[in-house]
Amino acid sequence: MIQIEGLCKSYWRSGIELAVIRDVDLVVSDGEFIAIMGPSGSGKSTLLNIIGCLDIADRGYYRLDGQMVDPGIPHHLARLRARYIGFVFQSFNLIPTRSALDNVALPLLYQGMSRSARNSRARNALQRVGVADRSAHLPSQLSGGQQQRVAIARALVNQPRLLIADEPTGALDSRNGSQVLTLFRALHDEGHTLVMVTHDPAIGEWADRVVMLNDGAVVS
Amino acid sequence: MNSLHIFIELLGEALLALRDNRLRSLLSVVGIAIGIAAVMTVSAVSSGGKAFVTKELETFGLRSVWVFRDYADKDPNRRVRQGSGLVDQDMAILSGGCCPAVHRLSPVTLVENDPIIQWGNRYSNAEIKGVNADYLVINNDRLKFGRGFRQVHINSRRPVALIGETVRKDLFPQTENPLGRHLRIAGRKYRVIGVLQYKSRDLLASIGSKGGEDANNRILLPYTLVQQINGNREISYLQAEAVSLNQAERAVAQLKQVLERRHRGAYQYTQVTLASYLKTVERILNGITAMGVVAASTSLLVGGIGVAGIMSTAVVERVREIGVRMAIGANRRHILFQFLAEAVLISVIGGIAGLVVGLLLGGLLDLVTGFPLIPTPSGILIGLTVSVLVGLASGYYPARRAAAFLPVEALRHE
Repeated sequence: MIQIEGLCKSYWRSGIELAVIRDVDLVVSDGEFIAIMGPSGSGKSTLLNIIGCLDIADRGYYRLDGQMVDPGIPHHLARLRARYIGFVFQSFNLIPTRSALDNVALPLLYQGMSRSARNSRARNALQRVGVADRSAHLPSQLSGGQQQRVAIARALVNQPRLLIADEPTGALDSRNGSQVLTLFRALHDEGHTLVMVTHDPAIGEWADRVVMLNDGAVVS
Repeated sequence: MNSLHIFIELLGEALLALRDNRLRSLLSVVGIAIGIAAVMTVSAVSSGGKAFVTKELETFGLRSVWVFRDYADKDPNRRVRQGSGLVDQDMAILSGGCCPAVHRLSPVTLVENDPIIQWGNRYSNAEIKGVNADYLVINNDRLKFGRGFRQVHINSRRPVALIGETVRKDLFPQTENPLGRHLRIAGRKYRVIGVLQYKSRDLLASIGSKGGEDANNRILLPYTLVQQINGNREISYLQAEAVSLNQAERAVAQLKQVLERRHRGAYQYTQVTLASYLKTVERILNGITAMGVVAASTSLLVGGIGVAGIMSTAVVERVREIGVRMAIGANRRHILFQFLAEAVLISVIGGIAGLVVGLLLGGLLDLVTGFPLIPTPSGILIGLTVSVLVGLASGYYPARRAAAFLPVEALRHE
């Protein structure tokens, strides 16, 4: 699913080059559930964002599902995001003025799907994550756990092969956190490929494999 | 999966975003509406003004030209002469086809001494004009009752008269039919054969043009009879109808050339044409319109800047939302289009509101002042086009900024 070779990324701060990702090689097979771990500042979020085509690397090769990811073409990245990838963020990132159903249906709008088809798929996705009864609620009327499940429904609604999650339980209590992780396991069992970033070893244990990052390099 | 469908749906997203910021959207809509209403009103005032002036000038016949002796001519080389410099023979020659730009021609002979005009013991102070059979058409006069002059009336000096509405009211009781009655003018009897239709010259009367002449206080007689009253064969001035509005100057030139040649330079002639009045009025109105349009456009510009400001704020406030939309599948064109659509929607809604307000305002002004404001279809079309353009212009920069974000940067935004 994911093949990364010699990936490098650095930022420039007041004239000094800060290497965030140093020569990272990574292969994630189809249907794998991996956790990227490491202390803060280790570059794990940057790596995840590059995998998710939200950010671009300076050097190195990245193949997603066998396709070369070309960092120079924003349109190409957008199409890959739309077609292959679902995102789950630490802070949910739901649009606050839209109902749960509208939030979940939104990705399908950019695929050109009709309203009725969007809504029925969004309802199924909400059903799948167990918050179908909250579909008309605004995000502010939902608990953190419910919001994150709505966000997961949004990530799933266009049936992506790859799910990307950045500290998905970071804003949740342990009970809601383990519900989300249980859901991830179930999705993994259904054949989704999952890449999750966390700093918490207990959460990393839910994954098949842990990739440890330190100072921008893979250490194990 | 057609992209047109996506853009239609994004228009809906733009509308929802405007609804989410109702007050702000409303305020920017008002800004545009004021601008468009101002532009509309100015253009309606201009076209209404032209129509108003044209309507009033039409009461003289728009193609009318007047030719008369230039009494102000003080050329010392010219032998000083008495009289109007126009006589019956001039008329005969001028009507003989020597002036192709002249369509119709009438002599006008005024009575030299104010005669007493009476019917029984009722009196009138009407102005008496001697004219020929073509005069009514040239002067755009219509008859309310009766008939106009025929050639035979002119040639054989029949004592017949056409009277204006004011004359009728002054001389005849409401119930009396004036047709066939005999007026007495300077001791002589004239049979009334027609009553002229009422003419409105509110504007011209109010500015005292033509010395406050009342178009409805007129008595028309065959000019041959007026010459008889005056005791000479003079014609006071000529009133002609040019073949078309833009041939008016040529008609005048042809008439003057023939007259000057015939009188061997003894007289200098001058003229008045409605075409030149019309041009002057148009020039003044165009000047006023141009100033008004500049003022109105300024308010539209301010409205547009308002929209640009609102959209810039919206982009900054919604950077995170932009990042989310990009993450879940929007490409840059989608983002650009949504923000552009928000700006255009604001201006188009403002434009429509402005048109409605402009029309209402125009109607109200018409009701109150009687000054017609004519909104032209092209004005409405231009108003809407301009509002779309204002939307595009004011939304373009903010929308481009929105679309240029790297998703990861947008998502990191607090």
